Amino acid sequence: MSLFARLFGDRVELPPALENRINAWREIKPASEQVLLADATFVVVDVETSGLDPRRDRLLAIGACLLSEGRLWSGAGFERIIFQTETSSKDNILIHGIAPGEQSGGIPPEQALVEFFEFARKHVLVAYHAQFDRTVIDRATRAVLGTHLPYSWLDLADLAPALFPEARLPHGSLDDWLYRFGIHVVSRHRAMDDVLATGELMLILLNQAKKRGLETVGQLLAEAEAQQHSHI
Amino acid sequence: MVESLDAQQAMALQPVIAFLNRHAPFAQMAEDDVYYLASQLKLSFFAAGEAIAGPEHGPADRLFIIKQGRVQGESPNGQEEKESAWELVGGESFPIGALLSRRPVNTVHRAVEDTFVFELAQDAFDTLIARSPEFHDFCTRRLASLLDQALTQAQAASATAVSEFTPMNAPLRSLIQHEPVSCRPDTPIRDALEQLHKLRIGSIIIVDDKQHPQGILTLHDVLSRIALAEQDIDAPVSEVITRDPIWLTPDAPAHEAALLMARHGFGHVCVLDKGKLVGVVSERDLFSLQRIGLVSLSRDITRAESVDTLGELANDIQRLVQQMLAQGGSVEQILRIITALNDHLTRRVIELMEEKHGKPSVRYVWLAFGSEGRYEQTLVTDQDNGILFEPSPEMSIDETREQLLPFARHINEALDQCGFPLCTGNIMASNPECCLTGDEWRARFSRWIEGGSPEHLLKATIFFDFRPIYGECQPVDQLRSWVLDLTGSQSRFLRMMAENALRNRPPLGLVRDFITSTSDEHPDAIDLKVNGLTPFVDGARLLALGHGIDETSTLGRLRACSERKVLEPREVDALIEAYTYIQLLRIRHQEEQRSAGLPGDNFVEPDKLNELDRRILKEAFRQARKLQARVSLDYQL
Repeated sequence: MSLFARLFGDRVELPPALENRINAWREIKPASEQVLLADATFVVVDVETSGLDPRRDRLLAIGACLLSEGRLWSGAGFERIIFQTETSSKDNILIHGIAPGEQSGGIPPEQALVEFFEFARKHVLVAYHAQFDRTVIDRATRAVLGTHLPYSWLDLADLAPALFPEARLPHGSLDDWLYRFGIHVVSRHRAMDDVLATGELMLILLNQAKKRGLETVGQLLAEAEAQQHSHI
Repeated sequence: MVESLDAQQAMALQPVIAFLNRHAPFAQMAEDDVYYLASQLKLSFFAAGEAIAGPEHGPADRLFIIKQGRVQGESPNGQEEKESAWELVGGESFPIGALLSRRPVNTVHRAVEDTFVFELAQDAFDTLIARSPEFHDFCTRRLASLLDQALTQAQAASATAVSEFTPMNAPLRSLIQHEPVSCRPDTPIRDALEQLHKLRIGSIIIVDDKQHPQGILTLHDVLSRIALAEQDIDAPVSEVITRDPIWLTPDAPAHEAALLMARHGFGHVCVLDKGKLVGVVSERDLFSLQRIGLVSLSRDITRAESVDTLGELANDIQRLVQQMLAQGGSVEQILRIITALNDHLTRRVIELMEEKHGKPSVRYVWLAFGSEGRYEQTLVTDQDNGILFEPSPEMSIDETREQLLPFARHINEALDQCGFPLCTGNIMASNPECCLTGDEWRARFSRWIEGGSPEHLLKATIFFDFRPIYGECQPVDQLRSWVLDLTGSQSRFLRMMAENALRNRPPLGLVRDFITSTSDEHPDAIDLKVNGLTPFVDGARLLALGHGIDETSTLGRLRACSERKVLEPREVDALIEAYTYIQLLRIRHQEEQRSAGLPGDNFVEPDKLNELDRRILKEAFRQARKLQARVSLDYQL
């Protein structure tokens, strides 16, 4: 158990193997924010939960995909469905499409999370309404791993209106943007489909960022942040 | 747990696999191979107007599969070609030819609209070709499907040159033949089939309560989906229909329907007005258009009153060819039509000369040799003809010939006036050596068969493809069976013909690229006639002479070889596709030259072809090589 977790986390006893993997993650050096966008690596993330309240509902699945050197590595996607002791209510299944059978066939949450961190390393995480995904992941991490693993997040809900002000979608949904750019999604709300849709939006935004003279990861993060503050 | 992890990893690929499974050739590939392909793909984005690949990027190093959007090809310098360029859509891949031959693409591939493309790195592309026979087939052999695309391009290219008056610009509403025949999804299959049969129609549309099409059932589907599938015909028709049939509005032009058909491989397009079915246009409705022009033109030719009029009508033949190319007529059909019209024209010239100079007192047959004899004339063909006459009891043979020669000269000159240049090798009826009695022809042919010098062999390749154009067929048929009997028994002669034929190798290099001419006159070019077509023509002639086949057209000879089990039907299909493709390329080339006001020739520069054409051309040459291999095996050369 790390010092950090002992001081701030809930007390959770982890098997040493998992503990070692978390420590290995902590050793990873994050890339500089000065990296050029054309060379940068991002990880597009989408979580599925048992409801719409990130502070109360359970994590059902994590989907993620690398986006590196301007390409979405759709062939090397990451998806983990988390084992549930109680299956989620019926109406929600209609949204995320994970059947009760699949939920009980998932893997334990601590394993899913560690594998996710190993997949995501310390790259910038990208999501639409990132605050939701961030809260869910942080809460689950604290609950099952008893710790906090810090990440930089890039919220496309901020970046998209910042780069396309002419779209006049300051509070648009992911669907609004997908519709605007004509991105077809076969079945929305499966974690992987949502990840790819978000990833495609990110590809468009990177293309636009280049045209608007943004060069580095840091500049992109600042652009999103400025947009966020502009409507507080 | 490990199993579950693999399952989860596989699940992450599902969206990509689902996409691949909607498109050929991926849909036909083994599950493992699709999985492998999906696991190797990366997605990138190109905004409208951005170049995805171009000659300046160096040798192609990845395959692009369009996920969504449209990609257009344009030549690197040619702004003017932007309009008529070809276009690729979702599910289509490029640049396969450049990847296979490790060279840069010839054309800039540009996103026409915002476009997402999957990328497959060269090494993964090579791995996939090695492990998936379907993918290998698609990249290297699927001539038929490539030809469809090439035809689409030929159509697109010609369509721009065709005038406003061509029927291909006619709105679809004018092509609808009758009220659409439709039924509900729950109609029993039996009833739907009965309707098709009773009304003698090719398709029935399945509509919902609002007359919106849900699907289509065509006669073509009956065999595979109902008869062979042993489908219960009391089941609802919705079980066997093709869903979401392609459709256009009544105002859409006919060529748009033709393009849709070529692209989707469907023979029927629904016509919808405000979402409601108002008619169906079939492939036959579109291509029957050209017959109107054809019928009236051949009538005009047979009625023409002067050589000048015939000369003008010869120009119309060329215009018709252009139109047929634009309409996507098959090459074989186009060549046959050109030949049929040229036959009409030749006969009319002879009739006019008989009227003007008096009909010869002896019975004679006008013969065609060479490409005309094989029914394979293109726009650029000089004369190859002769006369077979019956000896007269009143005159010596030489006196009869003296009477015929000036008459034949008038015909040769009139044909020249109509755009068929005089033969430089003097293979013309006005040459005493080409104006002979049946016995004299036999004596002359025997000399070649027994002699076998290079010159004899060359003459045999031209003269042995003879056919009657004007006059009685009977003496010509007798001459043919005599030739077949003699050549069938003269294996020495056939062996020498075979040797001669094999000297002309298809211009493929060791590294599977093209060998181009080194002459000053046509550097970097391939002679499509000599290097491309002749191997097929010679090979087919040899097989015909060796097996007593009396057809004179190359395709007819090849088909007869298939019927008589001389060649495998599959081999023959591939040979025919290859041969017709080279002919298509040749006609297109000559058509382009004609539009540019240049004299036509057969020299094509492979570097100026688009990659699709280059790829097919290479495959076509490989087929020629196969035919030659067969010939050398037969004659142990």
